[in-house]
Amino acid sequence: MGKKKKVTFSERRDKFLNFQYNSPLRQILSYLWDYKRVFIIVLIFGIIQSVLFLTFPLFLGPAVDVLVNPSIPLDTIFPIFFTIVSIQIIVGILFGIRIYFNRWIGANVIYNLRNDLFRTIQIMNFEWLDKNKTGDLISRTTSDVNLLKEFLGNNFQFFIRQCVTFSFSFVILFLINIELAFFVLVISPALFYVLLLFRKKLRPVFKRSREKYSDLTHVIQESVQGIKVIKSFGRESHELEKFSDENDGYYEKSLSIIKLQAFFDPIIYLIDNIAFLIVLLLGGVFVLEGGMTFGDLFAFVMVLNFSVEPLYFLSRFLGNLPQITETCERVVSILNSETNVREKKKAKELPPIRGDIEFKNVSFEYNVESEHYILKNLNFKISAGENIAILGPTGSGKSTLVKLIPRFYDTTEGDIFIDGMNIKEVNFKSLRKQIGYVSQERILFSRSIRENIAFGKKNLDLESVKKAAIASDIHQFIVEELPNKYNTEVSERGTSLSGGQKQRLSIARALAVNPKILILDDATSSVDVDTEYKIQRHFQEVFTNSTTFLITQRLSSIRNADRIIILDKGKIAQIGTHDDLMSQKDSIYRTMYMTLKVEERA
Amino acid sequence: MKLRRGKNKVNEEDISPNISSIKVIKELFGFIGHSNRKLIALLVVIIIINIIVNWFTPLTFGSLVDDGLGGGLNSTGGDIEVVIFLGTLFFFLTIIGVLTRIIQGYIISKLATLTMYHLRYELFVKFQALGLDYHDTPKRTTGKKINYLTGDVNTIQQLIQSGLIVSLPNIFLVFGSLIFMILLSPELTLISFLIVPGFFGIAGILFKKARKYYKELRERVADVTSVLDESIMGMKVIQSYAVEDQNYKDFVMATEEERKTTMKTARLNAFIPGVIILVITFGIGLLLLASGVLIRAGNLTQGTLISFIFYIFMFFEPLFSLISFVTMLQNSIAAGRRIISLLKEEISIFNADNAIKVSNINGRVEYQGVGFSYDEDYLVLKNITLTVRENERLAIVGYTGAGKSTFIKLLSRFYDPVKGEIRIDGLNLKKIELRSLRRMMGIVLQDNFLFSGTVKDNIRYGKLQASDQEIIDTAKKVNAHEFIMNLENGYDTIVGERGNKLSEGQRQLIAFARALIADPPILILDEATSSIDPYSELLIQKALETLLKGRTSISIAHRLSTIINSDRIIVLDKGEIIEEGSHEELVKLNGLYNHLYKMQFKDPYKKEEIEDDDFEIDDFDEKVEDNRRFPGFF
Repeated sequence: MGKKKKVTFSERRDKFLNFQYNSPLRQILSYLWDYKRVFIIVLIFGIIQSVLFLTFPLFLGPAVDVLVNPSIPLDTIFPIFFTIVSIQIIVGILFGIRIYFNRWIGANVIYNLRNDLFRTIQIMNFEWLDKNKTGDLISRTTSDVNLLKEFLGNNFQFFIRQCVTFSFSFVILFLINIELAFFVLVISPALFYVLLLFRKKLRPVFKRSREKYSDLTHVIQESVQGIKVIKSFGRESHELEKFSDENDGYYEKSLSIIKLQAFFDPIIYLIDNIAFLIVLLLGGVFVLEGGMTFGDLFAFVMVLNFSVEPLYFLSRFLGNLPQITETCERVVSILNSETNVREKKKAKELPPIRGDIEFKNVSFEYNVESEHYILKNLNFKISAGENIAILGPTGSGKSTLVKLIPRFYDTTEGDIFIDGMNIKEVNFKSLRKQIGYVSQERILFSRSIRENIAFGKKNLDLESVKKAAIASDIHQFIVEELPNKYNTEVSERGTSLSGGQKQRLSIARALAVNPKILILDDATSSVDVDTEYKIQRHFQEVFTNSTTFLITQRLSSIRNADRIIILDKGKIAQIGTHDDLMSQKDSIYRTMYMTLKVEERA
Repeated sequence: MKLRRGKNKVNEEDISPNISSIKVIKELFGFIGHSNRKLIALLVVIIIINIIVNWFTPLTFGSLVDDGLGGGLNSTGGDIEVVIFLGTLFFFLTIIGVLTRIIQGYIISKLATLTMYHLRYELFVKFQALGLDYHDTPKRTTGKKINYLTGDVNTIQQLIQSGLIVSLPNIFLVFGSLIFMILLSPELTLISFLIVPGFFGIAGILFKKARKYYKELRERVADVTSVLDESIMGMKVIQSYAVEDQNYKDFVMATEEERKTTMKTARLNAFIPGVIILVITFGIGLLLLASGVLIRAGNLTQGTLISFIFYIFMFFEPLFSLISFVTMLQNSIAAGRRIISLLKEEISIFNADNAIKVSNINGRVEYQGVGFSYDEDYLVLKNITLTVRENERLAIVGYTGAGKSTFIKLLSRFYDPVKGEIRIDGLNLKKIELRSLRRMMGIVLQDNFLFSGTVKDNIRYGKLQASDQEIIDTAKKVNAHEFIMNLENGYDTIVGERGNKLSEGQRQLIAFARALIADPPILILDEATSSIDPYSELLIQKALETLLKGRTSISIAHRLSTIINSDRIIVLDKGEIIEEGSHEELVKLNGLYNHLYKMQFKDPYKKEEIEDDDFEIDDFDEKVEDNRRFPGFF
């Protein structure tokens, strides 16, 4: 069954990016297409099963006729019973096969889809990862995908089968009694129409109610997150007012759904039930007049019940379709995301580096059309082992500059060379493995402390892990404070670590790969001065040959760098040693240094 | 990496007391009861009508067949008048049954929505009333707290809507039909129940297995989610270390397991319907066969048979819905328990009965023998006695965990001291109306929450009736005006979660403006400048000189450059004031302050300096302990 050639991720991605699908739904259905043979077979099985199941009343009718008529000997019923049981056994088996393979298709499609989504997210650049909120991405890859699992594994097939069942049940109704069937034929479109109308009216109301709900959630979220600010300012009643507005709004929207239901429910129920009653009474008259046997009426009512159900289902299905399309859209928007940071097809391996770096006419902008340069025409050389500090106001491009080196972004103009090699020519892995990058974000993974530190080098021995921990001044904490020392599990609910501890672990993680280039992108914001001082000292001892980039808020740390780059609006305003910069009378660096009282010790 | 299983289980016992399920249901019923009494009375009437109508409808139809049609479908001796009477009766009973059901559904929906509305309101009010002792518990993450008001309330609404109320009448329906069945034909009742043990036996085995598999599946799904969660959150780190392949392997391992478990449930699912169909077929066959025998023996009329079949449906349908309701109840009781225990949570800080509303104060602050502890055995503050004069600039210095933040949390009465008392202008804090007290203070923290909305809205938060001009003036005072004007839409730029990204420093400047717009007599700065860049710090430094004039200020700072100009500096260590005086005095004292001060301007690349410093850092444990309890102010 599963022996078909696998469509690889890159093949599928090429197809997605180059081929225009009519709708997101179509694109998602293309995953189903991989299993088309099984799908069609299962569909046929399902139809046979439904049809067989519908014949049940056909046999039950005669059986009832025999039973209620004392003049017919009871044993004539056994052949009928035997037939019914045989059919039911076949139905049961077909049912089982169908369910199994339905799930099989669903599970496989979702497996492929989810893995593809994951792979896509993996190759996206930082800009994309920043733009798409984490929570949003997670919900798209979990709850949205689960919704599709239900849809593809179940409802979609169900939909096709119900259509067939519905038509076939009419055939049977006509077979049993033409007049009654005709009556039903007249009634059911009306029912279907009302159902559809109901869904159509409900949809915008639902949508508004969902929007109101998300507003309400937003207010709740803010007042939970901002509880201290609220309390500090004594603004409880103000917040309660805001909340009440949203709570009222959502309540009203919920009520309008209920009202709509209250209006349509009676119509639907009455059409359904009155039709049923009329069939019963009309059928009763036919029976009395001898135009129909009691058993036939019995069978008719039973089939009628079967045929009404698909109607409800169909209207629900069609009502849900916009939601499914919306879901597909969200999922597909990940699959079709483009990234401009790509590995060259025949990218070379970057050999072990010394750590010389050269920026040649480097410019960067997020959006080429906007002409809004984040970095403009940077030229400088850094030799291996140098400590570089970067300083500049927010938005001056400090962080972007260092992110260009491991290629989290690519330059829009100009090139960067490491040991004379253009970084665009080498593959990601060999480049990034030799660079340690630590950001301000304090991300740890739920595994042991040791595994966290050895994140970039899976089989690192304990000695090296310890060495990294010592250098980042977290070793003492690990062995003295944590219950299982290096084997302590880090998790949200487990040992809670402070921001500073997490940051030190992140630094240890970077040091553990023994990087030739180390980038600390505001990585010490949460550790206190003492600790930052220690880290810098340890680091200096252990990693003497590494080139380092330091972005920090503390002038005291910057001061000690070999060279300081001052960035302003994407351009290098000044570059030089502390003494160089201090000697320039009107430099911003000097002003800052003097004002913040650092001079007292200098 | 091996997959860590079941770590997503929430350990609720840690944070919510154990309230019995019965009590939770009782409380919830109480809540529904409060929502609208008239509606509930109407509902009861409707339900009673519905039950009675339901009870007698099948009997009417059976009697229509037997009496109206003269004892049988094949006989011709019917009485047309009886047929018309009973037919009409049957028709109306059915219509009444349907109508009452619709009305019942409407009322229940409305009650559920009303209850949800009230519940959410009560919870919100409660949330705001609860003090920091509640909100600061690290186990109560923001996500969890939000979930109480969103997910949990929705669960309860759903519970009410789909069962809590209907389940009661269902019991009547089940027992009612059972009685009618026995009355109509004890033999058939017995036979219909013959398949019940078989049915429940087989179903029981299968469902037990199904439950196991589904539990497993839920765990696998949770595994996938947790790998996904972590990977997406850490994607930048993963890319930085070029470990995408390993990460993908981990992920595929999880999805592969999920797929396998799904197929396990599929195998079982494939089996269940077949078995059920067969058992039911067998049951119906048995019932019909028996009724055939009974009819032939003259012990059963056709009408009775028809009524009987109606009652069977009326018996099983509510029974199944009761069963599914019980399952639902089990799943939602946890939500109910969380809600009820939140509502019962005790509020530790509240207004005294005759609390005084203050509208203007001079700003003299006295601590008189103040001691405080969060958990009985460890005193965070010990016997603090201190007077801050009107318009004095006081700074507090010390290691993390020394009690600095606690010191000021007591002042704004986020906590009450365990012993001693705090006075403002000679008035005990506990005698001052809480909100009026807090409005006398401007507080700027290390990480200030900005609300989504415009820059203007956020500054105005400190003084709701402030004019635009006042806002601009205040922004100018804190040196924020220039950067605000450079934002896309100036003062109307949207900030916060959905808005523009502001830098830490810019957010802080806005927070300063927010705190100062109301011109508070007391200003509290808790690490207000420690996470901002030197450029913004420069701006704030310049502004502070003017801002602190004319009011009492208390500031905590790691970066000592910000507090050198204070009138007085106190050094806290392990909850006690160990040094006190001006910057120059403290430097001369050559104690902890001097050590901290030297540390800040030390050159890490010159070894000798740290060695000639004889001050040892020995309170490392304490720092860590404190961090665990209070991971940051926000």
